[in-house]
Amino acid sequence: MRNKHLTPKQLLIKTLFWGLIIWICGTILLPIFAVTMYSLADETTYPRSGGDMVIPPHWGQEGNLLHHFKMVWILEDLPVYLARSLVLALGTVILSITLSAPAAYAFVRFRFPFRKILLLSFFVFMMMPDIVFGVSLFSMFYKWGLINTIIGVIMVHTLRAIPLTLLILNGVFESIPPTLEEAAFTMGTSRLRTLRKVILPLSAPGVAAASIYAFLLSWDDFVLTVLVGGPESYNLAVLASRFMIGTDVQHYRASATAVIMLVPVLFVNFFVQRYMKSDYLTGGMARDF
Amino acid sequence: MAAVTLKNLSKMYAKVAANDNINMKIEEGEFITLVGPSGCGKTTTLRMIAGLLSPSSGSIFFDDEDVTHTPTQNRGIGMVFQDYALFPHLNVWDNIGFGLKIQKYPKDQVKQRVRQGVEMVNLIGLEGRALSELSGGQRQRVALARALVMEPRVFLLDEPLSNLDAKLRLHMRTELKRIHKRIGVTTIYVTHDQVEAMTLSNRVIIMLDGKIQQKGTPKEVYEKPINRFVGGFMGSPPMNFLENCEIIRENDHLFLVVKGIRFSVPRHFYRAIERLNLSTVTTGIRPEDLSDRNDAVTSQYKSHMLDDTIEMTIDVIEPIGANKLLDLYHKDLRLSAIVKADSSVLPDQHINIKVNLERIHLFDPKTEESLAYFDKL
Repeated sequence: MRNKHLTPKQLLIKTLFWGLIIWICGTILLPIFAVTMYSLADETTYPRSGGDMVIPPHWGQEGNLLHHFKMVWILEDLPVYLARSLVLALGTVILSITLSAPAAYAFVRFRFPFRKILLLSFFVFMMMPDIVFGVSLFSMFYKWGLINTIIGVIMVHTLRAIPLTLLILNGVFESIPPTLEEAAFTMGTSRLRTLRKVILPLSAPGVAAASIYAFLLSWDDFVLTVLVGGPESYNLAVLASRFMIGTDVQHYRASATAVIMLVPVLFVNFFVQRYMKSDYLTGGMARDF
Repeated sequence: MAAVTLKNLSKMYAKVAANDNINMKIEEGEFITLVGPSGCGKTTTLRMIAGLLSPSSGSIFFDDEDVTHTPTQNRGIGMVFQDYALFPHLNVWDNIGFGLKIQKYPKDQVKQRVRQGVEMVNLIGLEGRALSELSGGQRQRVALARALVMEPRVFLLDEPLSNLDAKLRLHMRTELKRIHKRIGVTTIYVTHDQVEAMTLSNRVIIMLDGKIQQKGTPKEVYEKPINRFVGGFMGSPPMNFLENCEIIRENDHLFLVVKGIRFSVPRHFYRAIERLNLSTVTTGIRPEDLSDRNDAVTSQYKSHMLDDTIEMTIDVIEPIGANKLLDLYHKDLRLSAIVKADSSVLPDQHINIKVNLERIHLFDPKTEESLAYFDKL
């Protein structure tokens, strides 16, 4: 074995390298692997009480590898939930970014009374449990006829997302030196055009990051969706969870739904990452930061 | 191009005046420097001229037009910021052309003017570069070109060279002077570096604590500082100050005595000292006005009544190229003097120092005003 020739330093690096690989597998790949396996396997793969997991599993059911996908797709109206989840998540992204971006900009650029306390209150709001938040909103939403509506769920997801997007965008705008705007003004650029030509392009990576968070928050939300939503406004997360609640646990259908839920997440991550290059903002100032 | 006039301009921050009643007139095409230590209000003044800060009171005129309340984007200024403030999402060419494009200049004109700008600051060949691929000096040039292609009425620079290393700073200083000579735009330059102020400008305005201390050509403010602050601020190595110099009268002649050393008071100060009835003064002597007695050309003023020699001991010698900087002491009195590099001096040596009496400065110890301006007060 060549291992004999490794110096202690090389050994350490090798250990760290494989440790990292195991860490990535454990945190990211293992959950993905588990749901993918269950979604493609026979119902008996999943351990019943007292039983053991069958590995390797019996692949497919009724001679069809994608049997569970077929079942949720046809029997459980999965396309409807998928479309609804997308509408809810994109709606949440659009609404929360359009509301929090101007607010974050104002927090960073303008000095007004109670600015810090106001900013802090958003973060305290972030710590409130979903249950308290959802239940307290119910009566108000009921009065306004927002229960079991797409709009209602988007609104509650947006309220939940705003402290987070505000926090991210606050950091984004803080990282843009005010002299960049002033420089634009000295060249005859109006405030509005400066926003469009300077601030917008520079904050794009941060806005993308905030959008991902808002998207995932809505995409993954179960508690609030159940509380203010209804059969007409449930998303994929509620559908997946429903398979796991009650006496007849349909883990294989929940897994198939989970795999479908993974697809847009990976897609979004892949594409948005291109805008999040770390060197995007450097080079404009006397000293790089 | 425009002349700039500031009338009674003040800026208050929570009852503290960052700028207190600033009055100045900058002629068309002039290169003027606002200089002072940090916190003196020079940048505040510049930002008010740019319209990035609004004054608490007073007004700003470009020629005869009152621009006090005109927003920055309509003032027709060009500005270079201390941190350059280039747009990191644009390359060199697009940074320089940013303002022209925003102002909807025809495409061929934008192209032509950006090209001129690139040539003016010697960035040919780097037009397509991203800013992160440029050195600090090159970024500085982009910032200069970006402001100048707008053909501003007034060109404002806020400590533009402070982020460059010493050698590059020297080079850019020359470059700035060359550009100004070529395009002759009214230029207001802010710096804390008195060397930049002296070398670049037609006129220098020295500020302290929000107030203008002195305005004048570099020669004027150097040779006739209006008060102790200006004397100490302008010039490097700085002016020596001898505190509490006692005034002694002997046969109608006045002498200064401090810590056992003694020298004559030049005649042109007599009237001020008598009128103000001063018993002590603060003396300011520039290091180059102290010389080795042995090197000195025999003074035409030399007479038995004129006492211009003081005996000191050399502590440290610092060779600075063509000259040597001597750190001298006598009791607890310390002075620095500049002598020729070929002067044969040694540490710990006693030396007779000749004071160039015609060039010493006397300040009222209480008001710190120069006695040379007594007649004008």
